[in-house]
Amino acid sequence: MSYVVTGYVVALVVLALYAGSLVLRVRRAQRRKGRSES
Amino acid sequence: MWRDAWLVASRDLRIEARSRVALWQVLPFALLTLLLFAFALGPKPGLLAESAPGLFWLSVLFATVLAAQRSLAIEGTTATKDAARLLGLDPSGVFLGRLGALLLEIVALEAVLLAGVTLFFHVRVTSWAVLIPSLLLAAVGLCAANVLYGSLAGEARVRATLLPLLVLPAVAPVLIAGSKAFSSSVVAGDGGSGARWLGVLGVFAVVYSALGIVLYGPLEES
Amino acid sequence: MQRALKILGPTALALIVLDVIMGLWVTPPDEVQGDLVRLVYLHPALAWVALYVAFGLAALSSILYLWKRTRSMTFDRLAAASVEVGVVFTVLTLITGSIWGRPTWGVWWTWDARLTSTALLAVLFIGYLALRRVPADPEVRAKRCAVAALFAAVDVPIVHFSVVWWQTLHQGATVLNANLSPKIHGSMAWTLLLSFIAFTTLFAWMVLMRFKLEELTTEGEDAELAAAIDARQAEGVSS
Repeated sequence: MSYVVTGYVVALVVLALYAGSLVLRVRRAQRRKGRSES
Repeated sequence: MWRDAWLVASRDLRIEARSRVALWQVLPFALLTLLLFAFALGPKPGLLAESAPGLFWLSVLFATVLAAQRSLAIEGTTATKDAARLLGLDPSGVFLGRLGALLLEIVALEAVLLAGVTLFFHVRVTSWAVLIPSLLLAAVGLCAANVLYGSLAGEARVRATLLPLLVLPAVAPVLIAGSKAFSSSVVAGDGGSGARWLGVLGVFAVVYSALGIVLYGPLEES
Repeated sequence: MQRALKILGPTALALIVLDVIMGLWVTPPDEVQGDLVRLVYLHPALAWVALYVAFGLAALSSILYLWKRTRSMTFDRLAAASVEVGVVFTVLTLITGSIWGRPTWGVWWTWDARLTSTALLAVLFIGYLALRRVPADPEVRAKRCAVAALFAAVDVPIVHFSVVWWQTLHQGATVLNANLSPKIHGSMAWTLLLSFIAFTTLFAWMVLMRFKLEELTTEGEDAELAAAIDARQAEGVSS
């Protein structure tokens, strides 16, 4: 069972980190674009 | 197309004849890899003989990338590109020409490496009917892939590290099939499986050559 | 697109949470694999997304970019987004496969046909990303990447057959008989289906986000350039 939990945890953590990085990068890009357009 | 191919191929070969880079650098490098494999694996004769097919093809693969880099370096100069455009050379023909010149170098390389492997790794070929076609078909596929990926990989500095990363995974089937074909021509009476691997090599060669003929023009337009 | 993202995001999250709950608690253990079977609600879905959805989308977008009639930077960005998310899923497929393999086969890795092909595909994807990072005119880069994706797509079936034949010839020498595909029925089957839907939804959200990022980055660069030019011109007028 510990293998199973490890598998789930690793996959979900990596996906969450990647998703988080996407959200942050999109926000940063939106700010940059907003700044240079104003 | 064929006329232009011949033009480009003979130019590439003439450059090689004069500079002898393939002869003095690529070939020694390939033989060197055989030595390095022996150092890495140890002198036990059984092990080397058994690994020989794979090691042979690894050497060919690495040496081909090296030779391709050289060929691309010659082509990549602005003067050469402008000349090709001014002369109105058919890009498919240019692709075939470069493929042809590289092919000749690689086939010669394979012959020498085969001798090396026979000598140093104690390999005895029993089925030339499988081995020779495999060497030729594999070479066509390898050279086509290298010329194609070479034209993708940008200018020389970037290409130096990018080309191996791009082309080597793509030619994995050649490594697998070539090694298997070689193994089957060393074991007596294993012609059946050899045919299957020749099929893989053939398909690879045809596919990548066709891709090259079609896509080389659009690629080089940039 | 904003609306699609707003719907897809929470939906994906909800479906995945449901999948985890079903997978880890509600569904029964397998008669052969016991609790290890619970990884079937994770690993095959990841593999499906990585190998078919991501790669398929990347190949399709690349072809659409290369075909003059449908050429558009949208397809280039879609392909790039697909490949990047695809790499994440492919690596996770390999990791979860390895974690499942260890208790099942006793080893972390084996040269099983599927694992090998997937590992090679991961390297091909990574090569695409490396090519993407080479500085070049956007259209040149788009064309090169599209062609690279096309080469990889064409190569995949050849690689697949080569590796399968390469592997099966060694079958006799290995002790690896336990399959990673257990028999599935009842709540297990539904949860399996759920996992596919959940991770595909997540993929969709991730690709759209990555696509948006790509769009914003190029637009952002254009805006910065325009602003810099304006500033320069303003200087010229006042002096």
